[in-house]
Amino acid sequence: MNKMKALLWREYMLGRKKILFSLIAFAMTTVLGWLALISIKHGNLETALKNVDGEFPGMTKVLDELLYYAAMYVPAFMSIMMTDENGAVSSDLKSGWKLFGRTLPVTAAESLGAKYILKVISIAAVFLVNMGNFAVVSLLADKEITAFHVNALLLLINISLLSGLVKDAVLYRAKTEKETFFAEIASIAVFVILCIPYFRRLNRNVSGIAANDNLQSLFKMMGVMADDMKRIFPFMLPAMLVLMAGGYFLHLMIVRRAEK
Amino acid sequence: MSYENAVEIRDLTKNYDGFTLDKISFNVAKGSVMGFIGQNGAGKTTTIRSLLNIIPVDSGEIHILGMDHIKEEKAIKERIAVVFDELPFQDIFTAANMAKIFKGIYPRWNGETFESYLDRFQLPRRKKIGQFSKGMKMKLQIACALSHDAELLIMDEATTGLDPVVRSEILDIFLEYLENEEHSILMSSHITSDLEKIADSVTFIDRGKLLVSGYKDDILESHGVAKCSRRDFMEIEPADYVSARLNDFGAEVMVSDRAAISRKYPGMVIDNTTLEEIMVFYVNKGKKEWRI
Repeated sequence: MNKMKALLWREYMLGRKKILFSLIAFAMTTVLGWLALISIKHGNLETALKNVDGEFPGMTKVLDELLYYAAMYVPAFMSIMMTDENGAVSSDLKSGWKLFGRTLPVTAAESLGAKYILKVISIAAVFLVNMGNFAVVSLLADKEITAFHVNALLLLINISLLSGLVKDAVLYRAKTEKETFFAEIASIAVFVILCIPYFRRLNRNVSGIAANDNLQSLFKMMGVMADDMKRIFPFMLPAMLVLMAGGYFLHLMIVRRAEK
Repeated sequence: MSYENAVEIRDLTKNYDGFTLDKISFNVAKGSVMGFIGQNGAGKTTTIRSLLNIIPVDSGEIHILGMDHIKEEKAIKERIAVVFDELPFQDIFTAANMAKIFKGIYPRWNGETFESYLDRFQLPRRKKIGQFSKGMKMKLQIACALSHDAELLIMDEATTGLDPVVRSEILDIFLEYLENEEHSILMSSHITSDLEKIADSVTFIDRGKLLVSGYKDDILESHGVAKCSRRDFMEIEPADYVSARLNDFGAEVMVSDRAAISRKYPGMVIDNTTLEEIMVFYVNKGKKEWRI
């Protein structure tokens, strides 16, 4: 128990700066989101955008809706940065702690376990602070938090976990432990490859709409995306568990292979 | 558990592409200091990493503190300390941070001992390690290594790159550590002068092969360098010497059995030698005769 506490504390100290940076980015984007929402409801944005009839013209009709989502998910994206454990792994390699750690009465599973426990704690913290933000944002926008919002947050977290898993898979395949530029590119490439057919399908869905009606196209696309997301929502929590466990075991395999 | 040798290595073999650690065997007696000597790339680090089970061995047996180095790895690692040539702690930590970490990791961590080493080495507790000099970093590593009552201290080129004053200070600490008869040191280095000061026994290794292993005093007593003319050198049988360094004026010949050579070649003057010279002559053993 003492050992795990010490390892956890060490991991926290290593990731402290990243956590702080992530929290500052979260706080800044959160406050900006709140201010923008207040402004579009009762402030300068409302005055500036509404026409003489007291209505939002053209694309600005959806601005409050876009601001509502941005105020929830931009801070969420910022806070998710704190959950990445790859920085701590690289730091151990660079400093020589990884080799030194093998001389201590600590197994690779314990050492990596501490990183993943901190990751789980970070994910829980990310979830809680974002739910708090969602509540305030919904209050400011006169809307209700729905299961959709919660699941969309889980989806964002899962995308971040998947990105880490792809990076680890590339490192495993490349028979290295060091986080490389190539692994970063690969994780982005996987998402691009997955997204291209999806956006093609979205495009086909709006092909019947007149080319100059951007607003209708946007609504249609958002509707299709929301329907698609709803279909995968039941799998969000199990997927998170699988991605976490997959990441841990893949990482452990990388560490153990490097030890040979 | 009682044991006679802090480290026992039997026929340790490890194959890499282009390098083989070839059936290395030696013991580090309890309460002694073993100097593990060899040039860079000789296999010292591979041997140390093998005995720490950092790399798997191809064959051979290793016992540390009387325990099997794989089966009882965790118990062994609670009772040993390892010091590397570079400080393996991240720059953001302080000495106080490291104490907090090691307190959780080592069941026998002694905070008072650590504090006393910090005082003795004049190391700041709250300054980040990144701002430490190389000497301070090494002292911190040694303070950490000696604060959990380790019975065996393994050092891999730990004194390399340190100035003579710091090296001497550190060697004094090791001598104090050895006042407890339960404590032993395995110290790999290519700085033979350090080992000459504190080692009880030495093991020479080169290109993965063990050259010589035994008590330092016996090795220094039995080995010697004969300085002779080229003509006298031609009369010495190749089997009677390790290797010979030729120069424009004659030859320096390393012999491994001074007494026997003196009897066989009466009148030959054989001088005392050093561990460094022994290493140099053994490394050139394959060439038998070499020029400077």
